[in-house]
Amino acid sequence: MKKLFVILGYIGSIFALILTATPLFKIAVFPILVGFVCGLGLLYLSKKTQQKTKTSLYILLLTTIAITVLVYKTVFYKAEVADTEAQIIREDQSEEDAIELLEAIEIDE
Amino acid sequence: MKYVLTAIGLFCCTQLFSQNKSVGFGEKLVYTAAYNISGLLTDVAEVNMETSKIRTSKSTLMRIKCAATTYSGFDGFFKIRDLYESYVSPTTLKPYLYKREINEGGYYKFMQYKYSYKSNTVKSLKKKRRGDGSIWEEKKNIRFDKDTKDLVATFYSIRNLEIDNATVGDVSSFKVLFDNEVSTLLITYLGKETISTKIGSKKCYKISINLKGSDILKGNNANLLWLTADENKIPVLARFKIAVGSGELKIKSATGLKN
Repeated sequence: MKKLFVILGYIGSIFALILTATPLFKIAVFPILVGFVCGLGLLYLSKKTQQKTKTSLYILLLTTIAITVLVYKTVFYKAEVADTEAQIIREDQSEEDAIELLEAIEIDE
Repeated sequence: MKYVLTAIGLFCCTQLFSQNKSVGFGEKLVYTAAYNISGLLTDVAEVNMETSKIRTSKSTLMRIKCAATTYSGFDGFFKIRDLYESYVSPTTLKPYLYKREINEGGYYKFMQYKYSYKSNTVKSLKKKRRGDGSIWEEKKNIRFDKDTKDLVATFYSIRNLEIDNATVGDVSSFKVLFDNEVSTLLITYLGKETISTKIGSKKCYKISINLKGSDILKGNNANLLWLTADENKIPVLARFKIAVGSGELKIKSATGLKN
């Protein structure tokens, strides 16, 4: 049981940290939950058997960092479109081509 | 005489109903496209829908431009640069030229329809990029009914529906030309709803969209559209379900409205 908590806790918290660094940061909430539950479970088991709590604290620390980044990004992250100049040039070019084509089309209005 | 008057009356009504009362030149609608990733809606792209005046030597047309662009953060994952255009009559939204250029994660496709109402045919041009980077093209002549429109013109025509007089469950149909195939788009009026948007709280007409004879749109009443219950009938929210998932289109800003 303890080993399972350690493995799942580390996977969850590390995966959460990686996800928070990507634009898909919102879905980091799932591995954060896994890491948090496993970290707490491990802490409880370690205290119960009077063993070292270092591993559980590491997992909880990683999860806390992930939560902090997630909250920060949710509040301050502003999605923006880049490369707008190339897009504008493309749209203008398309319009010029369209006008040429429309000259050859019979418009009945 | 009675029949002549009836015919004139019917003609006038048809003209009246097909008039564009909702869309004007210089309208700009900006949307945020969100995609459902693991049950959470994530903003992935921005969609711009603009209208402008186009002058040719013979006439004045309306250019309807819809551009979808992924946010910079997603460009590394799946870069989308889509451009849809329809050149329509400003009074009836009858299309004369349609262009669709899609660039999605390395996939490139170009479609062009030139409408000829004299012969009831569309000259279609399709271009695609091969695996080796070269482009192949295909030309086709497609026969169509006079009321058939492309996707963009259809979307704007929905805004000209007389929804004010509709009752819940009323269905309107549109013939849509997409990927060289004519499909029937069914619009069902579902009632009025007040929803909160970035441009304020709006009383809206809720409608569902189903595409008959096509599997692009999935689910029964899963594709919903909210149009403001005013003369502009701006689409403020859309929920869609397609083969590769589901998502939402939310309005960010609306400027240059006709009414």
